[in-house]
Amino acid sequence: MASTVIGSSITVDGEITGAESLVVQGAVKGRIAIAENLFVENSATVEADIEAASVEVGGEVTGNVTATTRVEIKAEGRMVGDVRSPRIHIADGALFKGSIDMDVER
Amino acid sequence: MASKAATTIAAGTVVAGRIEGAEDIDLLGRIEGSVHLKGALRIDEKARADADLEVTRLEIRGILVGNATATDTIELLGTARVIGDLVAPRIIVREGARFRGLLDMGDAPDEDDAPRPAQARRPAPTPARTPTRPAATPPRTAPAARPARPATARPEGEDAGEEP
Repeated sequence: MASTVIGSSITVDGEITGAESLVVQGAVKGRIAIAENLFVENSATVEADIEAASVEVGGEVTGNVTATTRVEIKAEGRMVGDVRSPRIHIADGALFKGSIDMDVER
Repeated sequence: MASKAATTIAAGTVVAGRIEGAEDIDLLGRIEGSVHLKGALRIDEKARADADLEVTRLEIRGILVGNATATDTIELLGTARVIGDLVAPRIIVREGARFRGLLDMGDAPDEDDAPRPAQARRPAPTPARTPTRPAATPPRTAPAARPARPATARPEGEDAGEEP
């Protein structure tokens, strides 16, 4: 399925909403609310409150995250913010600061 | 067309706000706000932009409501529907496109001097040619002394006619 890609040279200041997956390679500031998966890649910087089915953090995320299935912070990922998700995976090497709430009904 | 666009905004996605960057964007979904781009923005047939655009190239197959400035080209294809003012050195509107607004392609090249000096040059060289021709002809007749050497029939016959 076609997903939205924000390329590495792109900066979005505002709100991204949608039904598809979102891949961020550049920078997003504001709010992200999508029905599918969010991928924050190594080169990316996201300063936003996030609502998504799942969130994969390989880059830098600042903001509160609500995921309906899972959140993964990869080894290269850096994240500051509160996470609400039924499942969470934080890899060895990842940087995280914030609170985690896994008491979310699916 | 959608060759090397790194950025795609998919059909069900809405981006509201300001977008900046230096690469091509394929818009299949929706943009609201503004776009400042060093690259091409392609607005797909089912896409919609309610935005002011500043881009290098703009290709519209869908809907644009807003003003657009391109440093290179703006092209409205047959399925395009546009309300707004367009500014670009090259603007192409294909048959079938619907448009309401102003088009500005910059100043028309009204007084280019190119054709006028070209006409002025022509008369000058022509009188110069005529004196050169008579000057060139006398030297040909002068070396008539040569025929003495070759004993062949042809040069003798020619020279014999000229010498007397």
